[in-house]
Amino acid sequence: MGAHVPGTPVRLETDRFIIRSMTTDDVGEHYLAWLHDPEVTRFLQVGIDPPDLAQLRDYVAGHDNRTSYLLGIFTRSGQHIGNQRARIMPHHRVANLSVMIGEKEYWGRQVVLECRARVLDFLLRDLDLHKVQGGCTSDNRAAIFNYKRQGWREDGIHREQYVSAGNRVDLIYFAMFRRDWTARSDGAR
Amino acid sequence: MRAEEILASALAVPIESVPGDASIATFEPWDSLGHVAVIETLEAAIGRKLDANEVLTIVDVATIRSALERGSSAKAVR
Repeated sequence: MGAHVPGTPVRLETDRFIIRSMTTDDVGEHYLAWLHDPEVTRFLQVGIDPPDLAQLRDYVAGHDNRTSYLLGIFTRSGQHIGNQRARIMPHHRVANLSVMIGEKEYWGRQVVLECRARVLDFLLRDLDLHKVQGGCTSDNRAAIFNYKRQGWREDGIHREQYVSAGNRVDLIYFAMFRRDWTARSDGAR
Repeated sequence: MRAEEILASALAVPIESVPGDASIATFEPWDSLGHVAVIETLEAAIGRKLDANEVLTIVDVATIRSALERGSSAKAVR
């Protein structure tokens, strides 16, 4: 187990970004607008029934930094550009990790790869989890790229699970195991 | 259309700059948004949508080439 004390806020850094636990003080029209933007939520379930401001505050407050982490991605100048969310099953030492980049000007700029690498380090090294799982719909080719580029293993396909833009699409799961991540990131050091 | 031409067209780079072993792990212009274009260009070349299993295989020049060959075979059978 690393330096993180369960129940306390998380703060991580990458070359370009600060990743830290979200609080209700971070909730405002800016964040809310992402969840009402069809382009941002195109591949996210939140777009089906987007929250209002009060619901969004409740959602943020519902993360305890023990088994659920909502981590905001902030530029070094403090602009909030997206989130990563991890839900942990402690007994199994498995987490589900999702990501949303709300600021479209940051799409295609490797934010997901950079920030998810840091969060994978946190989950798999600091928290000593065995496996992190993520997923995306089969029409989300950019997300598939990011999983493949980062070395995630395919972890199953749920056929025709969702409707996306009027079409039935598959839900593809990916997994990063601790042994793979440590071998990969140790090799890069 | 050759695999290298798919990549050059989708990523808007000169075909001379596409190595024969270009992959998503090593070829810098091949980023997440570029990948969307790569898949769409490949689908246009073979004349059909790729299913999830096929999309998952597309990681380098060799796998694009295989998809093109499968696409050509499927057309020939029709």
